[in-house]
Formats: sequence, C-alpha cells, structure tokens
Amino acid sequence: MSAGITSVLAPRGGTLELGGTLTQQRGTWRETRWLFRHDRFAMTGLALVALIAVLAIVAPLIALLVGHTPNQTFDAMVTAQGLPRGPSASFLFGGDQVGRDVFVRTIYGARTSLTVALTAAVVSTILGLLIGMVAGYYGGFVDVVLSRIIDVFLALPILLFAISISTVASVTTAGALGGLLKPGIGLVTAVIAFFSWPYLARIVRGQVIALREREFVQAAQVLGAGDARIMWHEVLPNVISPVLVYLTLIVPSNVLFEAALSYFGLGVPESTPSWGQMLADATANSLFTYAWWMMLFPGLFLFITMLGFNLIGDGVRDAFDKTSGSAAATG
Amino acid sequence: MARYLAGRLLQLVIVVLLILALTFVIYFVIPPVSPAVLFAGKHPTPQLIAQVKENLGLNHPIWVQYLLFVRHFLFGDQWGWPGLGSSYVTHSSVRSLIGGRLVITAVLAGGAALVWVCIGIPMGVLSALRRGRLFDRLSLGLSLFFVSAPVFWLGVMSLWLFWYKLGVAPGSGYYPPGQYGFGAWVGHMILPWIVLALLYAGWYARMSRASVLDVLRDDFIRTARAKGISEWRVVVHHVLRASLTPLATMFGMDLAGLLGGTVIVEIVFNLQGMGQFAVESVFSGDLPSVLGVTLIVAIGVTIANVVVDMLYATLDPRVRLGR
Repeated sequence: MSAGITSVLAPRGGTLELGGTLTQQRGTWRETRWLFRHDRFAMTGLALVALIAVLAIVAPLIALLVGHTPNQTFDAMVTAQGLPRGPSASFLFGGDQVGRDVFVRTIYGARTSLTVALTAAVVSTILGLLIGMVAGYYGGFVDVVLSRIIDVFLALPILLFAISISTVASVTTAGALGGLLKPGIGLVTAVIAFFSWPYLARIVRGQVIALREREFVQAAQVLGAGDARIMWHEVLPNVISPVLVYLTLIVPSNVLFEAALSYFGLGVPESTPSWGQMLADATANSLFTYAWWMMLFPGLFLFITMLGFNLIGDGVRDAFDKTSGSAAATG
Repeated sequence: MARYLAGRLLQLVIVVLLILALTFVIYFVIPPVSPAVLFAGKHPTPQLIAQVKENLGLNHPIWVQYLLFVRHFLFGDQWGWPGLGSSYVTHSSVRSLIGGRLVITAVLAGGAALVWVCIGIPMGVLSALRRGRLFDRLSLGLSLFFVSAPVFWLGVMSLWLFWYKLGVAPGSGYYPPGQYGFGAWVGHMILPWIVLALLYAGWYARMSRASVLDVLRDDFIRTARAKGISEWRVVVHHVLRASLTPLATMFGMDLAGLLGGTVIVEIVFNLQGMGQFAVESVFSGDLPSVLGVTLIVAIGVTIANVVVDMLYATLDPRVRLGR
C-alpha cells in the first residue's frame, strides 16, 4: 500500500492507480531509452559487444567447423626451429608457440573474458549497492566504519593486491583458507569483484544520504515500513541510474583486469584460453618480433570488446545526463 | 582550518592502521604455507624451519605478530624507518631494496604525467571550444582509442613497430642518466612514457572537454562576454580557471595511484621499478617485499588524498573546508 502512495512523490516514473485504472506515470525512463536507441555511437558499441558475445556463445560450433579444439596442438604449425607458423587458409590467425590454433583460441578467449567481466560486475554491484545503501541510510557509527573501509579499499594498489591474493591462493592446488580460495576462474572473478565495489559504494552512499531526507522516504517511515522495505522499495529504484552508469564503467575495466591478471599468469588456468594469457605468450622471449599474429589478433579482440563497452557507456551516460537535470546521473 | 586538519590527520592514522591490518591478513594469515618454509630455502629441515620461526617471530600468537608488525612499521626496525623487515630471498632490508626502484617508478610516472597533461588537456579544451567540428570529432575518436587500448597490448605493439620494424626507438630496459648519458636515458624512456600516458590522456581529454562545456554554460561566462572583453580573455581567465580545478584534484590522485599502476609498463619495457619488483617478489614468495611495496603505495595514495583535498580548497574559493 505504501508503495502506491509514495511512488507518486518519487522523482522517476512508476504506476499510479486512479479510479481502478492503472496509469503509467510519464517517467524519464522511456525518454532515456529513446535517447540511447537513437545514439549512433552507442548502437555501434552495442553491435560490437553483441558480435563478441555471439562469437563467445557459438565458440564450440566454430571449433567444430574449423576442426581444431582450443588446446589441440598441431606439429605442422611449428617449424623445425620451434617457431610458430603464420596465418594460412586453415589457420586464419596462425599458430602459437606450441602449435595451437590462435583463431579458435581467440574466439574461446571471448568466453573467458565476458564470463569473468560480467559476473564480477554483477557481484561488485551487489556488494557496492548493499554497503553504500547501509552506510548512507543508517549514517552515524555504521557510516563512519563503512566509509573508512571504503577509503582503505580505494587507496590500495589494486593490481598488486589482486596479484598477491591470486598467488597465495595458488601455492597449493587445494587453495588457501581451508579451500575457500581455490585457483581458477572463480577466484579471478572473486578477486576482481572484491576490489571494484568501493567506488560504487561511495557513490550510492552519497545518493542515499540525500534521498533519506526526501518526502517519499519519510512518508514510508510514517506509514510504518521497515528499514529493509524502505531501502528495497523506496531507495533502490532511485539509485538505479548511477548504478547503471557505474556498470558501464566497470565492465570494460573488468575486461582489462582479467586480461592483466592472466597476462601475469595468475588469471584463469592454463587450459582455459584467455586474451591476456595469449598476449603474455606473445611477449615471452620477445616472440612477437617474429610471430606478430600471436599479439595482433587477441589484442584486437580485446580492443574491440573494450571499445564496444566504452561506446555503450558513453551512450548511457549521455542519455541519463540529458534526461535528469539533477545530480542523479552524474553522482 | 586547524580543526579540519586535525580531523583529516586522525582519519589518515585510522586508514593507515586498517591498511596495515588488511595487508597483514593477506600476507600472513591467508597463505596455506608458513612463511618460515619459504624463508628456509630450497631444502628446509624441521630444525631449520623452527629456527627461522624463532628468528622471524612467527612462533608468537598471531596478534602478537601483528602488533610487532605495526610497531616495526611505525617506529622502525634494525634497518631504520619505516621498518619493513628483510627479504626472504636476498635477506637484505626491504627498505633499501625498494629505495632505488622507487626512483625509476617516479621517473616513469612523472614523465608520463607530463605527457598526458600536455596532450590530454589541450585536446579536451580545444575540442570543447570547437564543439561539433572536425577537430572535436577527431579528438573524441582518438581519446576513445586511447581509453580502449590495453596498456600491455599498446606497449608490445609499439615496441614491435617503433623498435623492431622501424628502428626509430631503442629497445626496452632502463638506462640511468648518470651512467649512459642523458640522451640514452630519454631515448629509452620515451616509449614507456607515451604508452603509459595515452590511457590517461584519453580520460583527461574527455574530462576537460566535459568540464569546459559545463563552464561555458555558466552565467558568469555570459557576464564576462557581456562586459565586452575579448574571447581569448574569457577563455583563459574565466573558463580555464573554473573548469580545470576539478582536474587538478584528479591529477593528484592519479599520480599517486601510478605508484602501483606502472606494473604492466615496467614489465613490458623491462624497467626495474617498484611494480616489477613487487611482481618478481610475488613469484618468488618474498612476502615482506610485496608487503613493503603495497604498504608504501597505499599510504602514498592516502596521503595524496588529504593533500589534494587541501589543494582543492585553496584553488577553488567556492569550496569551504570543514563545513
């Protein structure tokens, strides 16, 4: 019941019951969507990301079509001197240092990259939202403690920390902390998520502090709604736009993070193809000076993914900037 | 002001203590293998491990170890202040190991900062003043390229192109100016500086463009124009001052963050800076060295945060401290 009354006072759209008919309040959401859809650059970005995503999904099909699996080694792709051979009709992107198909591995790399980046983004968003909302909503001592923790995380050299956690967890295959931290794709995702939530938490906290004083929140409090209910029904819908903007920033950053960890050999296990790992293979012993294809193609795919997500991000930010005059979108 | 300063300093102390706790947990509590085993070398015997545990203070309960760790850091150990212990691998003091490498990282970060400010900000400001024209489009495209290209890819590609193929740039490695002369030093630093700077140049171009566009809409710019002063004066005296102040704070934070953010460039270009040292130490299981680098960077960033806040207040009279 309280949701019906309070959402009339909420700044962004919602439904309103008038004489038994449900009326859609003319919210800014539709306008934001319209702006985004008519942004040529954003659409280009969406197309690029869609292309990479489709490739990632159909990777096994492509492997079947080409007839090479990602970890299969081909003696024909390595010269007598042990150097990889370049692109040819059946090996579009050439071979790597042990004679694997760079094309198939690059396509499979898209799977790793997108899985890790998106999962980590979702986890860190939930973490950041929860911590930011609790700090902002309760204020006082809770806020002081959480804010200092956020400060600490923001000051940490993230890459160094991620590298060390991955290393200490990889000393034995059983992992650390009684098997809680085990090397593999899950650890990489967890490490990335663990270090990327503070930024969002800080933004959400700021927003919630302002929202706490708004009429619709006070109305809900007067009506006797509990803290959890207010946070979920009244506060959360109003911090969605900064969260979306944050997501568009964090996804490309996670893509890069995974690639960097794998570049140091601390990302996904050896058997899972990853762009960062492939680039590290190309860098090892300056192999790239000869086998340029080993560096060019995985790097290009990484670049296209980053470009796509960045274009989408610009579009989302522009659309929100134009539809909301307040600080809601800029944080 | 004094009260604000005291408050910030107290916060600083709390944050430093938290950082110490977190690093301690990561390096001494999480690892499944006792550091003593790593320290004892390739052929550890139970007696040797027991001896090492005794020497490193690892036989104390964990909270005593933590207090010792904090005391050494805050008040120094037998190698001086700040007490960072000794390396498990070379057995020399971490303080002295980090010292020389800090210089290389600082040179790399400082040079890159100069490059990105000189490229990024003029690009963004001109872009905003020529909004929608060819230059604006070109610069937007270029900055998008800069922020999307991964540093390790850009580094390897530029080495391949400019060093291996074209031969216009020297290869990787650090050549101290005192030993090899100024020319060789700059020559070997140019590629790392540019590669590290491009990402930031892209961000700064976009930020300064947005910031200038924002200020151009402000009332005081209309007033300035209405007074009849030249457009050049309006831009230099009014627009730039107001729009670049937020960038100054960003610059301080980014520069401090680079202490730990140069890792990839140092490795690609084989520069013996702090980042490379940390990564090498990670792989050799040299916990005190990694810990030392992590602590120094984290505390550096925290201090920069405070300094930047104060700087912001002096640069921008609209901001009041201790509200």
